[in-house]
Amino acid sequence: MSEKDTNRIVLVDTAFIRSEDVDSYAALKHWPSTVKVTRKIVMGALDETPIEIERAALSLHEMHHLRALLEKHELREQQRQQAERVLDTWAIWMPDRVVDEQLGDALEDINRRIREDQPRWAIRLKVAATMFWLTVHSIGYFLTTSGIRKTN
Amino acid sequence: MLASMTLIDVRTSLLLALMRGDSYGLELIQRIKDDTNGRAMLLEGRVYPALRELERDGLLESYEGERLPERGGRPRIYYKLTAEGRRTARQDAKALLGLLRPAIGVS
Repeated sequence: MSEKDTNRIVLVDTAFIRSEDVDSYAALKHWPSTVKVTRKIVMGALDETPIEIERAALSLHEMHHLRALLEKHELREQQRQQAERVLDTWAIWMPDRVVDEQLGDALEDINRRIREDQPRWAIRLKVAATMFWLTVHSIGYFLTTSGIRKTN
Repeated sequence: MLASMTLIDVRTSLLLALMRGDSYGLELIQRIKDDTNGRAMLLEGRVYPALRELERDGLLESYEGERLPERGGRPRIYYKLTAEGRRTARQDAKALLGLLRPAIGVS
């Protein structure tokens, strides 16, 4: 591990300890502005041996903490992307108004659930419910705007 | 036990919740749940059509908020009461208060 990489790890760890929030990982890409920290660098560096971890001036406990945070972040990111991909594909034919409002709100809610570490089945249930309501409301929207269904 | 979902009509709940300020669907659902200690929980299946219906009836106006990454780059759709909506909300609140007075022991 080069000295430059070692400094990066120290910086990353410091930032995590300060924020105590894995979501701030996104902000690390821009912090500090002179060092471009990427997940690849961090994960790659974490695969180094304990001897090199000592050289990075971090305790094993700190490294485990950092690794756990990064893995958790990675898992959350996968879940988020998967839900977004499924719902985006499902909503391809739906009106913009319904998609912006309901799909947007659903994704915001799903992101919150993922951050709260809710179980996978709860996230999947939310995705399935969103697909159902998006379909029902899109049909209702088309019927109303085309004048087939009358409103009060 | 399931919390009551029929404390008051969905339209009235939304109008009353919007008296506290502009908001969007997801936040309105949470606001109503919090304000009623979880006794009134609106289902997303009923909230969005009701919001659009209130807008068509001229009681609400909608506008787009900023596009957010956690929404896949989609904007929040905020709602605000129109003058007519505010009047209707006040009338509904008075009517509800009339119903509640005997129950809470206020004359």
